[in-house]
Amino acid sequence: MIIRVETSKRTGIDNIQEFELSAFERNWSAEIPKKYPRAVQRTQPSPLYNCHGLTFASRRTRIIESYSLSQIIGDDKWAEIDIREVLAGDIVIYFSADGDANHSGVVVGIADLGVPKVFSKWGSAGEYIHLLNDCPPLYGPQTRFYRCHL
Amino acid sequence: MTKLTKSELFEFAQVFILANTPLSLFNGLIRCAGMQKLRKNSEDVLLRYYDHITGRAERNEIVLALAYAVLCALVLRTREIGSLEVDASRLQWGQRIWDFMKRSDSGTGGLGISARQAPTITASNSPSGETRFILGPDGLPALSWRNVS
Repeated sequence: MIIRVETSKRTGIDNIQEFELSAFERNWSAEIPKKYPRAVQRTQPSPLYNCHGLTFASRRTRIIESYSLSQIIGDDKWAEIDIREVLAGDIVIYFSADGDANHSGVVVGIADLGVPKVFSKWGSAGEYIHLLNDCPPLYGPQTRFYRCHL
Repeated sequence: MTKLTKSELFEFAQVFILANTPLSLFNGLIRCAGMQKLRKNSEDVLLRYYDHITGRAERNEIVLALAYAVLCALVLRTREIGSLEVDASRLQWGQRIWDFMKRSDSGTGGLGISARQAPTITASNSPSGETRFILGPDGLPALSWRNVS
């Protein structure tokens, strides 16, 4: 199902909601704490939204296209900042080597030695609070930080 | 058809669950161990298998992830031998993956946001600005040093 999501300039954003979570997904999600013992799980798995839906659509839906993120970044005045300037409330977008925005999250703090601490949703799994790169290798390897200037 | 192990199928399924975009699904699946086995099959075998698994009534994560993996193997085969007729629309993200790869082949593919070319590791300063460090793949400082100037 598609819902209406718009940027601050009222540009429509493609999205899709999903509603089914399988036993496989639940069982696999239960294994995540073993693989990422330092990551703190804050919610149970949900099929409704993905990481970009968490970061840019208040958990209401899934945003799956890089061009949609580009539209949001531009319309909502997210300006890129250096990792040394990052503060809680900024966002991080993870990119593949070929530029696909494959993950995103919200910075919630700065850990020891200035490593950003992020909360993000891992696909259909739950939301996790984790250090910048303490997440599945599918995400990244490049990261860029943004701050909203609306 | 080359037989895949349980762990290889699970690896496909994990990528399927974690992927947030069609391209990340593609990139994740082609790095899985099982992809090398799939790619050993001819395009005819892959096409028959794709038809078989996308025609199944049961569609759990294992089946769907395998179907996407076979589609990705066909995408890679297409790059080697030229065009193939595949109904990628049978999978929710199938057509996006197929279309993107066709655009990529012609050199006109665009991703919307261009990532700055950067190394996997990241150099940064501590909040006090005294200590510099490099983040390792686990997000923890892998190397640090102090300014002596």
